Amino acid sequence: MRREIILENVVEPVLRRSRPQDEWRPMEIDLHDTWFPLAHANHVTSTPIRRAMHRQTVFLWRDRGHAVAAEYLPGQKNRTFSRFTAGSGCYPSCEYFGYIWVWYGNPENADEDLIPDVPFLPRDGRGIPEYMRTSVRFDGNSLLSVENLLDLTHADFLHGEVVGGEGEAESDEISFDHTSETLTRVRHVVGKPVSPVMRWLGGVRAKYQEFRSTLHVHLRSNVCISYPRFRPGFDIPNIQTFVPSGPYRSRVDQIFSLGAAPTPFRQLMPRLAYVVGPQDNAVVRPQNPRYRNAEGRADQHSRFDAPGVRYRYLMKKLWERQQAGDYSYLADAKPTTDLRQVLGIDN
Amino acid sequence: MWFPVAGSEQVPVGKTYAAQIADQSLVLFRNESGVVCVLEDRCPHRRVPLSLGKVIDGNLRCAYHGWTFDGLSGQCVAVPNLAETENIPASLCAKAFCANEKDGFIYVATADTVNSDSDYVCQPPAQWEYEKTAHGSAVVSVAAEDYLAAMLDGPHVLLSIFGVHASDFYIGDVVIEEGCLSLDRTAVWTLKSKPHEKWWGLSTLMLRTEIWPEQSAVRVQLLDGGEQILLAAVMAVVPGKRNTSQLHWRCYFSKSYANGYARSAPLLLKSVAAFKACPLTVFSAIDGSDMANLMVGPSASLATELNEHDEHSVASSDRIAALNIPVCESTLSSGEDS
Repeated sequence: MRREIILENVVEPVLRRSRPQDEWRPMEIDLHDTWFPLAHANHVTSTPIRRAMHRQTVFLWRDRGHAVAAEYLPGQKNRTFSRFTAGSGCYPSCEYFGYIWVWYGNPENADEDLIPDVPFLPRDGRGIPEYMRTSVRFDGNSLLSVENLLDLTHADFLHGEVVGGEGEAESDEISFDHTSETLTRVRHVVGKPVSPVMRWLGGVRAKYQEFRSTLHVHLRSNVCISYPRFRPGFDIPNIQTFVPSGPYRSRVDQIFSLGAAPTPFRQLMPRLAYVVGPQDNAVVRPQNPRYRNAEGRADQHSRFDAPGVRYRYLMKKLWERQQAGDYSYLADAKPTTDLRQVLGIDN
Repeated sequence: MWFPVAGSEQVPVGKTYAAQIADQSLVLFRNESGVVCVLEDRCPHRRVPLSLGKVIDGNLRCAYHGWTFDGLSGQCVAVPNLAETENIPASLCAKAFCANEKDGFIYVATADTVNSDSDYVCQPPAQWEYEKTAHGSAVVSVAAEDYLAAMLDGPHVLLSIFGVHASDFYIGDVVIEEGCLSLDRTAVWTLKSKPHEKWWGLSTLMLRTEIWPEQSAVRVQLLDGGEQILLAAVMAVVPGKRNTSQLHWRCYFSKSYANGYARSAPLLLKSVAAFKACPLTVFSAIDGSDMANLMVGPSASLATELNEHDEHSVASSDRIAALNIPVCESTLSSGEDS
């Protein structure tokens, strides 16, 4: 017998009808027909490695130098395979920007033009130093993890001693733009205390700095192309992949492009992902069960959440379309558009 | 009804404590005046446990995005980086619950609370003098109802008092008075016991177990033949997740050689007891086979009492249902197309 104990509220809660648009159940969303950057290209060798895209298992290995993505391990092809490989057992795959990209959806719709552009990385992936690559686990649903990145105000509190810095800025403005397939968020902070990592590793001696962070999110794949710019300081362009490994976990294979940053910042900044990642996990992990089922209570928002709220709306729109059988990309979706201008990269 | 949820020591100034009552997660902390505040352990912004946060100037700041809440009202008092001209709407708030602190225990009010001192059940026996207190807490993998039942049927499975062997020879039956179930059983000093005393229940000690099933609280008293109290302990058995229980206990005793709880014990036992920090041990790991082998006896009355309480609660189900309605706090900016 389990007792029900109801506690007395100090203030009676304001009861109002729950609106459908307030509901947010990220665990249910499973968007098809997209490329996932499933592994760092240099992690795929002749020895198979295992990855997941949502609930689909993928084995990756190289056969005579060519990357193979399959539902089976080499030599174990004697079973039936899913519709994600049209029964062949092999997923469409390709190699760009230092990643092995694998198609998740109907193989007939696989189109390499849909692979997102990453303007600060070489398209053939050559020359990316190993020290600029990291792989971290996110103990949260991939959509919740993307939300984590969209609302950067968390850095001041969660990563205060590393990349953030507690303290009020002169101004903090958030803006965003979107298509049916992407969301671009820009946060512009003036008069922000210099973060410890900039000061101690980057040699920035000023007390305050200006910070402009652009994040370009590809909705179907959760690929996040990030371009933070610090003045005084330097740019820290990077790509974070948030590949869903089932509904409760995601995997981030991150590549930085820090050619313009000084040593030792250039070498050490990517390693800080192993400090920052567990800090994020401390809050994202307990979010999982609370977003698993409909609670009937809407999240509260501040104006800093406007991009996050739009993200939820766009994801639900895409999900509704796919549930109705429409997996197509709309006319405004141009994932291969040059992003230099969007990200604010100097020519 | 005031429901004990934690010991006072669990909530030091400047720290948070995550508590659980059945399915309800709570965060406890003290505000600048030292008053215990209880909020739902869930930030209304992104549902992260507030217990991961920090107490800043007596308010609780969420670890994730820094929203800060007043402990007594639950009102959000700060959203970082908002301009001075921007106001925080009253609708931004966490759920706050009524709390009180008394005699080393922290209580939260349930929906049917009527302010009454008799509701604070975790207290030592009235007008009894003791010299020392000791306290502790643990989480056991036994459901609270089962723990209370075992406390009636065989407390030796759950705790021990140094130098005392409690028998399963009950003296009479369970007495129910004002929501409290009370049962006495014989006990002996371990070094003094002869086989007939130990096994047949002939003894000059008595262990009294009192249970308040509604508040999930227990009081144990060790009495001598003249019904003088030698030692007392109270315990909150808070129902937790996955059929676990959080135990918060406090033991009251005297331990001097001449007037300690073991004053009537054999010489050797009395000497050792005078040096023990606390004679009570509450088991944090409970032997599963001991629990399984415990035969149902006096706890049958507990089941009856709880069933009667449940039937009684049906009468007030309308109010309970009203409080159970999922709530939707209003949003500052939805930004969504409606």
